[in-house]
Amino acid sequence: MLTLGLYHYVLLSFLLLAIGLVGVMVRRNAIVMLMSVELMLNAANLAFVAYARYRGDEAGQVMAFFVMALAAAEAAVGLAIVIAVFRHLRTLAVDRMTQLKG
Amino acid sequence: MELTLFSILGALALASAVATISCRSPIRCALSLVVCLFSVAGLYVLLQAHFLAAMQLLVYAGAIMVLFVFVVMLLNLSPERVDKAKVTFLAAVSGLATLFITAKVARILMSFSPGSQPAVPGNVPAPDFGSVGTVGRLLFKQFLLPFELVSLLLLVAVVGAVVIARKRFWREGQ
Repeated sequence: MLTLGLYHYVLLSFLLLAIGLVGVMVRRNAIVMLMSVELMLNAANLAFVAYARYRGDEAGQVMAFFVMALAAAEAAVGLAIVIAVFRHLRTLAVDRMTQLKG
Repeated sequence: MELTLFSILGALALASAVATISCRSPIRCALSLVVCLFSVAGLYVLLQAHFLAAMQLLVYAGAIMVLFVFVVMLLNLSPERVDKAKVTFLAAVSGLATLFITAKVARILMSFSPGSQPAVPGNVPAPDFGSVGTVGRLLFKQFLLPFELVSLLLLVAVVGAVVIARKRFWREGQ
């Protein structure tokens, strides 16, 4: 009988991270790219919590808590930028955002 | 029992993650992401991180996802028009690369003997492991400075978001 261990969680978190990375690289919609970044942050959190559990050290959970706060800040600013860009260009395709000048 | 739950939640998380990056309509992406976040919250419960599971539901599935859905609705986005050949090519290449790297990582992980996995004595954590009390005590003693800095960061993010999303900000230069 296979017992559930740390490495199962690490492998799952790695897969989630890889999916998020593929999303950032393949998708051209700014909002979906932000969602993929959230996916990657979530995968990192899962690894933090898994290590916290299997080492018996709650500091990992505290780190995951900080990552969550960071993700919230990132989403707020990122979506504000998305709205501003959409007002200006009427599109969210990152291929069309070629100028820094407003 | 634990393994069964892990398999179900893990499969659900992976499937919804794939749906998140492959759906064409942004609102479907957002809803798949919610499913993924919920299953990760379930995994946190399996990992005895009850406080973090609650935070995951409140902060991620609650606040962040509402923000995403709100922006998608506000901008009234239509499904992305895609260049089929290009996307198929990119998906095939990235899928193959992911599979390759995953196989490598899995082999490295499997090469450790099961006995070398770090584990708490007897593999049973303390009964109050991951409760609000223990995590909070850690947060307000050992990690007090980072905690206060995070509150500052959130303040900066709020002010920044308001300033950037304001209409006048873009007109002043003209």
